[in-house]
Amino acid sequence: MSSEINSELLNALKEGDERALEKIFSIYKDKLYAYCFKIVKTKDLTDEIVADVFITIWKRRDQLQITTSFESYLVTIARNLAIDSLKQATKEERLYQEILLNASVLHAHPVDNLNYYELQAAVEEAIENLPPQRRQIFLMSREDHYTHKEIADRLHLSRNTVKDQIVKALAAIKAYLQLKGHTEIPAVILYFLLHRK
Amino acid sequence: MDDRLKSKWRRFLNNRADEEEITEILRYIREEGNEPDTDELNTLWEQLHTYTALRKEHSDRIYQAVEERTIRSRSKQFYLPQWAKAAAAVILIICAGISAYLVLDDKSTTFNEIATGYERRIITLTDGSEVVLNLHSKIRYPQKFGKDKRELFLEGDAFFTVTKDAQRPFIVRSGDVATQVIGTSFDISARETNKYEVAVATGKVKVVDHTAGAEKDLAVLTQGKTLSYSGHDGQVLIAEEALDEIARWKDRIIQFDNESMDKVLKVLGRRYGVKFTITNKKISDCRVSMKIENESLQTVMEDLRAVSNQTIAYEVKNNTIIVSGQGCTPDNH
Repeated sequence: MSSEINSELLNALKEGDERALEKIFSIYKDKLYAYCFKIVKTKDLTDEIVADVFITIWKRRDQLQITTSFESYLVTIARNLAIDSLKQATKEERLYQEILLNASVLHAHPVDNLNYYELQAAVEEAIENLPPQRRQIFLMSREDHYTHKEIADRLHLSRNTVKDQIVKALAAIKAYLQLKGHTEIPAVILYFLLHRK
Repeated sequence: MDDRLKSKWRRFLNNRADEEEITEILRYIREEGNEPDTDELNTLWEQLHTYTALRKEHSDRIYQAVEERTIRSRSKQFYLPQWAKAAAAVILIICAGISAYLVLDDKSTTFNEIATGYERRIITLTDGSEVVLNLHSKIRYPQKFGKDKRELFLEGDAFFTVTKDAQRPFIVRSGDVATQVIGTSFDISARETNKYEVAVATGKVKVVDHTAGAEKDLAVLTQGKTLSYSGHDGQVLIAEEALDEIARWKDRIIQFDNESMDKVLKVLGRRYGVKFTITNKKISDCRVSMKIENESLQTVMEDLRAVSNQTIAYEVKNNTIIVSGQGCTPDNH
Protein backbone atom coordinates (compact mmCIF):
# COMPACT_ATOMS: atom_id res chain seq x y z
CA MET A 1 0.00 0.00 0.00
CA SER A 2 2.57 2.56 1.07
CA SER A 3 4.76 1.73 -1.92
CA GLU A 4 2.13 3.41 -4.08
CA ILE A 5 2.76 6.64 -2.23
CA ASN A 6 5.92 7.97 -3.84
CA SER A 7 7.59 11.35 -3.80
CA GLU A 8 6.22 12.12 -7.23
CA LEU A 9 2.68 11.75 -5.97
CA LEU A 10 3.40 13.81 -2.87
CA ASN A 11 5.05 16.54 -4.91
CA ALA A 12 1.98 16.69 -7.11
CA LEU A 13 -0.14 17.02 -3.98
CA LYS A 14 2.05 19.83 -2.68
CA GLU A 15 1.62 21.62 -5.97
CA GLY A 16 -2.13 21.45 -5.63
CA ASP A 17 -2.91 18.68 -8.08
CA GLU A 18 -6.28 17.36 -6.99
CA ARG A 19 -5.74 14.11 -8.84
CA ALA A 20 -2.97 13.36 -6.37
CA LEU A 21 -5.42 13.82 -3.51
CA GLU A 22 -7.91 11.53 -5.20
CA LYS A 23 -5.22 8.93 -5.78
CA ILE A 24 -4.20 9.00 -2.12
CA PHE A 25 -7.84 8.75 -1.17
CA SER A 26 -8.27 5.69 -3.34
CA ILE A 27 -5.21 4.05 -1.82
CA TYR A 28 -6.18 4.58 1.81
CA LYS A 29 -9.96 4.92 1.92
CA ASP A 30 -10.82 1.32 2.80
CA LYS A 31 -8.32 0.80 5.57
CA LEU A 32 -8.84 4.28 6.92
CA TYR A 33 -12.58 3.78 7.01
CA ALA A 34 -12.31 0.47 8.81
CA TYR A 35 -9.88 2.08 11.25
CA CYS A 36 -12.03 5.09 12.07
CA PHE A 37 -15.14 2.95 12.34
CA LYS A 38 -13.44 0.84 14.98
CA ILE A 39 -12.98 3.99 17.02
CA VAL A 40 -16.33 5.75 16.64
CA LYS A 41 -18.57 2.78 15.74
CA THR A 42 -20.94 4.96 13.78
CA LYS A 43 -21.22 5.18 10.03
CA ASP A 44 -22.18 8.84 9.81
CA LEU A 45 -19.35 9.94 12.08
CA THR A 46 -16.89 7.79 10.15
CA ASP A 47 -18.04 9.33 6.87
CA GLU A 48 -17.28 12.75 8.31
CA ILE A 49 -13.92 11.81 9.78
CA VAL A 50 -12.63 10.17 6.61
CA ALA A 51 -13.66 13.22 4.56
CA ASP A 52 -12.06 15.52 7.14
CA VAL A 53 -8.79 13.60 6.97
CA PHE A 54 -8.44 14.35 3.27
CA ILE A 55 -9.65 17.91 3.63
CA THR A 56 -6.96 18.43 6.29
CA ILE A 57 -4.29 16.88 4.11
CA TRP A 58 -5.32 19.13 1.25
CA LYS A 59 -5.38 22.28 3.35
CA ARG A 60 -1.99 21.56 4.85
CA ARG A 61 -0.40 20.37 1.63
CA ASP A 62 2.11 23.25 1.72
CA GLN A 63 3.54 22.01 5.00
CA LEU A 64 3.87 18.43 3.88
CA GLN A 65 7.28 16.97 4.69
CA ILE A 66 8.10 14.47 2.04
CA THR A 67 10.98 13.02 4.03
CA THR A 68 8.81 11.66 6.83
CA SER A 69 6.45 8.74 6.45
CA PHE A 70 3.28 9.88 4.79
CA GLU A 71 1.34 7.00 6.24
CA SER A 72 2.11 7.89 9.84
CA TYR A 73 1.22 11.50 9.04
CA LEU A 74 -2.13 10.34 7.66
CA VAL A 75 -2.81 8.03 10.59
CA THR A 76 -1.98 10.75 13.10
CA ILE A 77 -4.48 13.08 11.47
CA ALA A 78 -7.12 10.34 11.36
CA ARG A 79 -6.46 9.30 14.94
CA ASN A 80 -6.79 12.83 16.29
CA LEU A 81 -9.92 13.57 14.29
CA ALA A 82 -11.50 10.28 15.37
CA ILE A 83 -10.76 10.88 19.06
CA ASP A 84 -12.15 14.42 18.85
CA SER A 85 -15.23 13.10 17.12
CA LEU A 86 -15.74 10.33 19.69
CA LYS A 87 -15.28 12.80 22.53
CA GLN A 88 -17.82 15.21 21.08
CA ALA A 89 -20.27 12.41 20.31
CA THR A 90 -20.25 11.09 23.87
CA LYS A 91 -21.49 14.48 25.04
CA GLU A 92 -24.60 14.22 22.88
CA GLU A 93 -27.25 11.90 24.21
CA ARG A 94 -28.45 10.66 20.83
CA LEU A 95 -24.96 9.89 19.56
CA TYR A 96 -23.90 8.45 22.90
CA GLN A 97 -26.78 5.99 22.69
CA GLU A 98 -26.03 5.18 19.10
CA ILE A 99 -22.39 4.40 19.78
CA LEU A 100 -23.34 2.30 22.79
CA LEU A 101 -25.88 0.39 20.73
CA ASN A 102 -23.59 -0.16 17.77
CA ALA A 103 -20.71 -1.25 19.95
CA SER A 104 -23.01 -3.69 21.76
CA VAL A 105 -24.38 -5.12 18.53
CA LEU A 106 -20.87 -5.52 17.14
CA HIS A 107 -19.84 -7.27 20.32
CA ALA A 108 -22.83 -9.58 20.42
CA HIS A 109 -22.75 -10.42 16.72
CA PRO A 110 -19.23 -10.39 15.40
CA VAL A 111 -19.75 -9.54 11.79
CA ASP A 112 -16.23 -9.96 10.55
CA ASN A 113 -17.24 -11.20 7.15
CA LEU A 114 -20.23 -8.99 6.99
CA ASN A 115 -19.43 -5.41 6.46
CA TYR A 116 -21.45 -3.73 9.13
CA TYR A 117 -21.04 -0.13 8.02
CA GLU A 118 -21.50 -1.00 4.39
CA LEU A 119 -24.69 -2.75 5.36
CA GLN A 120 -25.79 0.38 7.20
CA ALA A 121 -24.92 2.52 4.18
CA ALA A 122 -26.81 0.17 1.90
CA VAL A 123 -29.87 0.30 4.15
CA GLU A 124 -29.78 4.09 4.02
CA GLU A 125 -29.50 4.04 0.25
CA ALA A 126 -32.36 1.58 0.03
CA ILE A 127 -34.49 3.92 2.12
CA GLU A 128 -33.50 6.89 -0.05
CA ASN A 129 -34.60 4.95 -3.08
CA LEU A 130 -38.11 4.30 -1.81
CA PRO A 131 -40.93 6.24 -3.43
CA PRO A 132 -41.50 9.47 -1.44
CA GLN A 133 -44.69 8.50 0.37
CA ARG A 134 -43.49 5.02 1.22
CA ARG A 135 -40.24 6.48 2.51
CA GLN A 136 -42.08 8.98 4.66
CA ILE A 137 -44.28 6.31 6.17
CA PHE A 138 -41.34 4.04 6.77
CA LEU A 139 -39.27 6.74 8.43
CA MET A 140 -42.17 7.87 10.60
CA SER A 141 -42.43 4.33 11.83
CA ARG A 142 -38.72 3.62 12.15
CA GLU A 143 -37.31 6.87 13.40
CA ASP A 144 -40.14 8.72 15.02
CA HIS A 145 -41.75 5.57 16.40
CA TYR A 146 -45.24 6.52 15.39
CA THR A 147 -47.75 3.70 15.50
CA HIS A 148 -49.52 2.67 12.33
CA LYS A 149 -52.62 4.41 13.56
CA GLU A 150 -50.79 7.64 14.28
CA ILE A 151 -49.23 7.61 10.83
CA ALA A 152 -52.60 6.89 9.24
CA ASP A 153 -54.17 9.81 11.10
CA ARG A 154 -51.42 12.24 10.26
CA LEU A 155 -51.27 11.38 6.60
CA HIS A 156 -55.01 10.88 6.17
CA LEU A 157 -54.58 7.29 5.05
CA SER A 158 -56.19 4.06 6.12
CA ARG A 159 -54.34 1.87 8.59
CA ASN A 160 -54.21 -0.89 6.02
CA THR A 161 -52.50 1.41 3.54
CA VAL A 162 -49.88 2.31 6.14
CA LYS A 163 -49.29 -1.32 7.01
CA ASP A 164 -49.09 -2.26 3.35
CA GLN A 165 -46.61 0.53 2.65
CA ILE A 166 -44.35 -0.54 5.50
CA VAL A 167 -44.40 -4.15 4.36
CA LYS A 168 -43.56 -3.03 0.84
CA ALA A 169 -40.80 -0.75 2.12
CA LEU A 170 -39.19 -3.60 4.06
CA ALA A 171 -39.43 -5.90 1.05
CA ALA A 172 -37.87 -3.24 -1.19
CA ILE A 173 -35.03 -2.66 1.28
CA LYS A 174 -34.28 -6.36 1.54
CA ALA A 175 -34.34 -6.67 -2.24
CA TYR A 176 -31.95 -3.73 -2.53
CA LEU A 177 -29.57 -5.26 0.00
CA GLN A 178 -29.54 -8.53 -1.93
CA LEU A 179 -28.90 -6.65 -5.12
CA LYS A 180 -25.89 -5.02 -3.45
CA GLY A 181 -24.52 -8.41 -2.46
CA HIS A 182 -25.62 -8.47 1.17
CA THR A 183 -27.25 -11.83 0.90
CA GLU A 184 -26.73 -13.57 4.20
CA ILE A 185 -27.60 -11.02 6.80
CA PRO A 186 -28.35 -12.39 10.25
CA ALA A 187 -31.98 -11.64 10.99
CA VAL A 188 -31.07 -9.96 14.25
CA ILE A 189 -28.72 -7.49 12.54
CA LEU A 190 -31.27 -6.69 9.89
CA TYR A 191 -33.93 -6.18 12.50
CA PHE A 192 -31.59 -3.88 14.36
CA LEU A 193 -30.83 -1.82 11.26
CA LEU A 194 -34.45 -1.51 10.25
CA HIS A 195 -35.98 -0.78 13.62
CA ARG A 196 -33.34 1.18 15.39
CA LYS A 197 -33.22 4.61 17.02
CA MET B 1 -5.53 5.83 31.24
CA ASP B 2 -4.39 3.14 33.64
CA ASP B 3 -3.58 -0.40 32.51
CA ARG B 4 -6.94 -1.77 33.55
CA LEU B 5 -8.78 0.83 31.52
CA LYS B 6 -6.32 0.50 28.68
CA SER B 7 -7.21 -3.15 28.21
CA LYS B 8 -10.89 -2.24 28.16
CA TRP B 9 -10.10 0.43 25.60
CA ARG B 10 -8.34 -2.19 23.51
CA ARG B 11 -11.34 -4.48 23.82
CA PHE B 12 -13.62 -1.59 22.89
CA LEU B 13 -11.65 -0.88 19.73
CA ASN B 14 -11.76 -4.51 18.71
CA ASN B 15 -15.46 -4.90 19.43
CA ARG B 16 -14.76 -7.29 22.28
CA ALA B 17 -15.97 -5.09 25.11
CA ASP B 18 -19.33 -5.92 26.69
CA GLU B 19 -21.94 -3.32 27.42
CA GLU B 20 -20.59 -2.51 30.87
CA GLU B 21 -17.09 -1.98 29.54
CA ILE B 22 -18.35 0.10 26.63
CA THR B 23 -20.23 2.34 29.04
CA GLU B 24 -17.15 2.74 31.21
CA ILE B 25 -15.01 3.71 28.23
CA LEU B 26 -17.53 6.16 26.83
CA ARG B 27 -17.99 7.80 30.22
CA TYR B 28 -14.25 8.08 30.66
CA ILE B 29 -13.78 9.71 27.26
CA ARG B 30 -16.65 12.09 27.87
CA GLU B 31 -14.84 13.68 30.82
CA GLU B 32 -12.94 16.84 30.10
CA GLY B 33 -9.18 16.29 30.16
CA ASN B 34 -9.35 12.51 29.74
CA GLU B 35 -7.57 11.25 26.67
CA PRO B 36 -7.78 7.72 25.33
CA ASP B 37 -4.48 5.96 24.88
CA THR B 38 -2.91 6.67 21.51
CA ASP B 39 -0.47 3.75 21.59
CA GLU B 40 -3.45 1.44 21.34
CA LEU B 41 -4.63 3.42 18.34
CA ASN B 42 -1.28 3.12 16.61
CA THR B 43 -1.27 -0.62 17.25
CA LEU B 44 -4.80 -0.80 15.92
CA TRP B 45 -3.63 0.62 12.60
CA GLU B 46 -0.59 -1.60 12.41
CA GLN B 47 -2.62 -4.70 13.10
CA LEU B 48 -5.47 -3.88 10.83
CA HIS B 49 -4.91 -6.26 7.96
CA THR B 50 -8.39 -7.37 7.03
CA TYR B 51 -11.00 -4.87 6.06
CA THR B 52 -13.56 -4.71 3.33
CA ALA B 53 -13.62 -2.35 0.41
CA LEU B 54 -16.14 0.44 0.52
CA ARG B 55 -18.81 0.18 -2.09
CA LYS B 56 -18.32 2.68 -4.88
CA GLU B 57 -21.49 4.62 -4.05
CA HIS B 58 -20.31 5.04 -0.50
CA SER B 59 -16.75 6.11 -1.21
CA ASP B 60 -17.93 8.42 -4.00
CA ARG B 61 -20.19 10.16 -1.54
CA ILE B 62 -17.35 10.65 0.90
CA TYR B 63 -15.01 11.97 -1.75
CA GLN B 64 -17.69 14.31 -2.96
CA ALA B 65 -17.72 15.85 0.51
CA VAL B 66 -13.95 16.24 0.26
CA GLU B 67 -14.21 17.92 -3.11
CA GLU B 68 -16.89 20.28 -1.95
CA ARG B 69 -14.62 21.67 0.69
CA THR B 70 -11.31 21.57 -1.13
CA ILE B 71 -11.15 21.55 -4.87
CA ARG B 72 -14.28 23.54 -5.50
CA SER B 73 -13.25 26.27 -3.09
CA ARG B 74 -9.82 26.62 -4.60
CA SER B 75 -8.51 29.78 -6.12
CA LYS B 76 -9.66 30.44 -9.62
CA GLN B 77 -6.52 29.58 -11.45
CA PHE B 78 -7.28 25.90 -10.97
CA TYR B 79 -10.78 26.26 -12.17
CA LEU B 80 -10.25 27.48 -15.69
CA PRO B 81 -12.53 25.51 -17.93
CA GLN B 82 -11.02 23.60 -20.78
CA TRP B 83 -12.07 26.05 -23.44
CA ALA B 84 -10.42 28.98 -21.69
CA LYS B 85 -7.07 27.26 -21.96
CA ALA B 86 -7.19 27.39 -25.74
CA ALA B 87 -4.98 30.12 -27.06
CA ALA B 88 -6.57 33.33 -28.25
CA ALA B 89 -10.08 32.32 -27.34
CA VAL B 90 -12.71 34.99 -27.19
CA ILE B 91 -15.78 34.54 -25.09
CA LEU B 92 -18.62 36.94 -25.12
CA ILE B 93 -22.14 37.12 -23.97
CA ILE B 94 -24.57 39.39 -25.67
CA CYS B 95 -28.11 40.04 -24.64
CA ALA B 96 -29.99 41.67 -27.44
CA GLY B 97 -33.38 42.42 -28.85
CA ILE B 98 -35.24 40.05 -31.04
CA SER B 99 -37.08 42.54 -33.21
CA ALA B 100 -34.12 43.35 -35.40
CA TYR B 101 -33.31 39.74 -35.83
CA LEU B 102 -34.72 39.40 -39.30
CA VAL B 103 -34.09 42.88 -40.58
CA LEU B 104 -30.61 42.14 -41.75
CA ASP B 105 -31.67 39.09 -43.62
CA ASP B 106 -30.10 39.04 -47.03
CA LYS B 107 -32.72 37.67 -49.42
CA SER B 108 -30.22 36.36 -51.93
CA THR B 109 -28.66 33.97 -49.46
CA THR B 110 -30.09 30.71 -48.23
CA PHE B 111 -30.03 30.44 -44.45
CA ASN B 112 -30.04 27.56 -42.06
CA GLU B 113 -31.90 28.07 -38.85
CA ILE B 114 -31.46 25.99 -35.74
CA ALA B 115 -33.49 26.47 -32.60
CA THR B 116 -33.05 24.61 -29.33
CA GLY B 117 -35.60 23.77 -26.66
CA TYR B 118 -34.52 22.01 -23.50
CA GLU B 119 -31.30 20.77 -25.02
CA ARG B 120 -27.98 22.15 -26.16
CA ARG B 121 -26.71 21.65 -29.68
CA ILE B 122 -23.30 21.70 -31.23
CA ILE B 123 -23.21 22.99 -34.77
CA THR B 124 -20.24 22.97 -37.09
CA LEU B 125 -20.27 25.79 -39.61
CA THR B 126 -18.95 25.52 -43.15
CA ASP B 127 -15.72 27.32 -42.27
CA GLY B 128 -15.02 24.78 -39.53
CA SER B 129 -16.09 27.07 -36.70
CA GLU B 130 -18.11 25.45 -33.96
CA VAL B 131 -21.15 26.75 -32.15
CA VAL B 132 -22.56 25.41 -28.91
CA LEU B 133 -26.13 26.63 -28.76
CA ASN B 134 -27.61 26.92 -25.28
CA LEU B 135 -31.19 26.07 -24.27
CA HIS B 136 -33.99 28.08 -25.88
CA SER B 137 -31.73 29.77 -28.37
CA LYS B 138 -31.85 30.27 -32.07
CA ILE B 139 -29.14 30.69 -34.62
CA ARG B 140 -29.42 31.58 -38.28
CA TYR B 141 -26.47 31.32 -40.60
CA PRO B 142 -25.89 31.27 -44.36
CA GLN B 143 -25.35 27.91 -45.98
CA LYS B 144 -22.25 29.45 -47.43
CA PHE B 145 -20.41 32.39 -45.93
CA GLY B 146 -19.68 35.44 -48.13
CA LYS B 147 -16.30 36.30 -49.58
CA ASP B 148 -15.63 39.28 -47.34
CA LYS B 149 -17.20 38.28 -44.06
CA ARG B 150 -18.70 35.47 -42.03
CA GLU B 151 -21.90 36.79 -40.59
CA LEU B 152 -24.62 35.08 -38.62
CA PHE B 153 -27.57 35.91 -36.40
CA LEU B 154 -28.26 34.86 -32.90
CA GLU B 155 -31.06 34.98 -30.42
CA GLY B 156 -30.22 33.43 -27.08
CA ASP B 157 -26.87 32.11 -25.86
CA ALA B 158 -24.16 30.48 -27.84
CA PHE B 159 -20.51 29.69 -27.49
CA PHE B 160 -18.36 30.01 -30.58
CA THR B 161 -15.02 28.51 -31.46
CA VAL B 162 -14.03 30.36 -34.57
CA THR B 163 -11.65 29.19 -37.24
CA LYS B 164 -9.08 31.83 -38.00
CA ASP B 165 -9.53 33.67 -41.28
CA ALA B 166 -8.03 37.13 -41.38
CA GLN B 167 -9.64 37.87 -44.76
CA ARG B 168 -13.18 37.27 -43.55
CA PRO B 169 -14.06 38.67 -40.13
CA PHE B 170 -16.49 36.67 -38.05
CA ILE B 171 -19.47 38.76 -37.07
CA VAL B 172 -22.37 37.80 -34.87
CA ARG B 173 -25.41 40.00 -35.08
CA SER B 174 -27.93 40.14 -32.30
CA GLY B 175 -30.51 42.81 -32.69
CA ASP B 176 -28.77 46.07 -33.46
CA VAL B 177 -25.47 44.98 -32.09
CA ALA B 178 -22.77 43.37 -34.13
CA THR B 179 -19.90 41.63 -32.46
CA GLN B 180 -16.83 41.24 -34.54
CA VAL B 181 -14.33 38.72 -33.41
CA ILE B 182 -10.66 39.45 -33.47
CA GLY B 183 -9.80 36.11 -31.97
CA THR B 184 -10.93 32.54 -32.17
CA SER B 185 -13.72 31.71 -29.78
CA PHE B 186 -16.50 33.48 -27.97
CA ASP B 187 -19.89 33.24 -26.37
CA ILE B 188 -22.97 35.26 -27.10
CA SER B 189 -26.35 35.54 -25.57
CA ALA B 190 -29.22 37.58 -26.84
CA ARG B 191 -32.39 37.39 -24.82
CA GLU B 192 -33.75 40.58 -23.39
CA THR B 193 -35.13 43.17 -25.71
CA ASN B 194 -32.62 45.87 -26.51
CA LYS B 195 -30.25 44.92 -23.73
CA TYR B 196 -26.80 43.65 -24.51
CA GLU B 197 -24.08 42.02 -22.57
CA VAL B 198 -20.72 41.04 -23.96
CA ALA B 199 -18.12 39.24 -21.92
CA VAL B 200 -14.70 38.26 -23.15
CA ALA B 201 -12.66 35.52 -21.55
CA THR B 202 -9.61 35.74 -23.74
CA GLY B 203 -8.95 37.39 -27.06
CA LYS B 204 -10.30 40.61 -28.48
CA VAL B 205 -13.72 41.68 -29.68
CA LYS B 206 -15.19 44.81 -31.19
CA VAL B 207 -18.80 45.67 -30.46
CA VAL B 208 -20.71 48.00 -32.76
CA ASP B 209 -24.19 49.48 -32.44
CA HIS B 210 -26.10 49.73 -35.70
CA THR B 211 -29.25 51.36 -34.34
CA ALA B 212 -30.95 53.68 -36.83
CA GLY B 213 -28.50 52.84 -39.56
CA ALA B 214 -25.65 54.64 -37.85
CA GLU B 215 -22.52 52.77 -36.95
CA LYS B 216 -21.28 53.49 -33.49
CA ASP B 217 -18.33 51.65 -31.99
CA LEU B 218 -19.28 50.74 -28.47
CA ALA B 219 -16.04 49.24 -27.37
CA VAL B 220 -13.12 47.01 -28.12
CA LEU B 221 -13.07 44.44 -25.38
CA THR B 222 -10.15 42.39 -24.22
CA GLN B 223 -9.73 39.53 -21.82
CA GLY B 224 -11.86 39.65 -18.69
CA LYS B 225 -13.94 42.64 -19.77
CA THR B 226 -17.70 42.68 -19.74
CA LEU B 227 -19.79 45.21 -21.55
CA SER B 228 -23.38 45.95 -20.62
CA TYR B 229 -25.28 48.14 -22.99
CA SER B 230 -28.84 49.30 -22.98
CA GLY B 231 -30.20 50.31 -26.37
CA HIS B 232 -32.92 52.36 -24.65
CA ASP B 233 -30.72 54.97 -23.03
CA GLY B 234 -27.41 54.29 -24.73
CA GLN B 235 -25.69 53.56 -21.45
CA VAL B 236 -22.46 51.60 -21.76
CA LEU B 237 -20.92 49.92 -18.76
CA ILE B 238 -17.65 48.05 -18.87
CA ALA B 239 -16.62 45.88 -15.96
CA GLU B 240 -14.06 43.24 -15.14
CA GLU B 241 -15.40 39.75 -14.98
CA ALA B 242 -13.60 36.76 -13.52
CA LEU B 243 -12.67 34.40 -16.31
CA ASP B 244 -14.47 31.42 -14.95
CA GLU B 245 -17.67 33.40 -14.49
CA ILE B 246 -18.03 33.75 -18.22
CA ALA B 247 -20.16 31.32 -20.19
CA ARG B 248 -20.48 29.11 -17.19
CA TRP B 249 -23.54 27.44 -18.61
CA LYS B 250 -21.35 25.80 -21.17
CA ASP B 251 -19.78 23.67 -18.49
CA ARG B 252 -23.15 23.29 -16.82
CA ILE B 253 -21.96 25.12 -13.77
CA ILE B 254 -23.74 28.13 -12.44
CA GLN B 255 -22.27 30.18 -9.67
CA PHE B 256 -24.11 32.90 -7.83
CA ASP B 257 -22.17 35.26 -5.63
CA ASN B 258 -24.48 37.32 -3.50
CA GLU B 259 -26.88 37.50 -6.41
CA SER B 260 -30.47 38.65 -6.09
CA MET B 261 -33.06 35.89 -5.87
CA ASP B 262 -34.73 37.51 -8.84
CA LYS B 263 -31.73 36.87 -11.07
CA VAL B 264 -31.12 33.43 -9.61
CA LEU B 265 -34.65 32.27 -10.37
CA LYS B 266 -34.38 33.71 -13.86
CA VAL B 267 -31.21 31.76 -14.56
CA LEU B 268 -32.60 28.57 -13.01
CA GLY B 269 -35.80 28.93 -14.95
CA ARG B 270 -33.92 29.15 -18.19
CA ARG B 271 -31.62 26.31 -17.34
CA TYR B 272 -34.27 23.88 -16.17
CA GLY B 273 -37.01 25.05 -18.49
CA VAL B 274 -39.43 26.00 -15.73
CA LYS B 275 -41.24 29.15 -14.71
CA PHE B 276 -40.91 30.67 -11.28
CA THR B 277 -43.63 32.60 -9.53
CA ILE B 278 -43.01 34.35 -6.24
CA THR B 279 -45.84 34.94 -3.81
CA ASN B 280 -44.14 37.84 -2.08
CA LYS B 281 -42.23 40.57 -3.86
CA LYS B 282 -39.74 40.82 -1.03
CA ILE B 283 -38.35 37.40 -1.94
CA SER B 284 -36.66 38.92 -4.97
CA ASP B 285 -34.56 41.09 -2.64
CA CYS B 286 -32.97 38.08 -0.97
CA ARG B 287 -29.32 37.47 -1.78
CA VAL B 288 -28.04 34.07 -2.79
CA SER B 289 -24.57 32.59 -2.99
CA MET B 290 -24.43 29.08 -4.30
CA LYS B 291 -22.94 26.90 -6.96
CA ILE B 292 -24.86 24.51 -9.13
CA GLU B 293 -23.42 21.74 -11.18
CA ASN B 294 -25.16 18.80 -12.68
CA GLU B 295 -27.85 18.56 -10.04
CA SER B 296 -31.49 17.85 -10.54
CA LEU B 297 -33.90 20.74 -10.16
CA GLN B 298 -35.17 19.24 -6.93
CA THR B 299 -31.69 19.15 -5.42
CA VAL B 300 -31.10 22.72 -6.50
CA MET B 301 -34.36 23.85 -4.92
CA GLU B 302 -33.44 22.09 -1.69
CA ASP B 303 -30.03 23.78 -1.75
CA LEU B 304 -31.66 27.10 -2.43
CA ARG B 305 -33.90 26.57 0.54
CA ALA B 306 -30.90 25.68 2.66
CA VAL B 307 -28.86 28.73 1.67
CA SER B 308 -31.91 30.86 2.40
CA ASN B 309 -31.88 29.49 5.95
CA GLN B 310 -35.18 27.73 5.27
CA THR B 311 -36.92 31.08 4.87
CA ILE B 312 -38.42 30.07 1.57
CA ALA B 313 -40.74 27.26 0.59
CA TYR B 314 -41.56 26.04 -2.86
CA GLU B 315 -44.26 24.09 -4.57
CA VAL B 316 -44.07 22.52 -7.99
CA LYS B 317 -47.08 22.76 -10.25
CA ASN B 318 -46.53 21.35 -13.70
CA ASN B 319 -43.93 23.61 -15.24
CA THR B 320 -44.24 26.33 -12.65
CA ILE B 321 -42.53 26.56 -9.31
CA ILE B 322 -44.20 28.74 -6.76
CA VAL B 323 -41.77 30.20 -4.26
CA SER B 324 -43.16 31.58 -1.03
CA GLY B 325 -41.70 33.07 2.11
CA GLN B 326 -41.24 36.25 4.07
CA GLY B 327 -38.55 37.58 1.80
CA CYS B 328 -35.82 40.05 2.68
CA THR B 329 -35.38 43.77 3.02
CA PRO B 330 -33.24 45.30 0.27
CA ASP B 331 -29.52 45.63 0.95
CA ASN B 332 -29.78 43.61 4.07
CA HIS B 333 -27.11 41.07 3.32
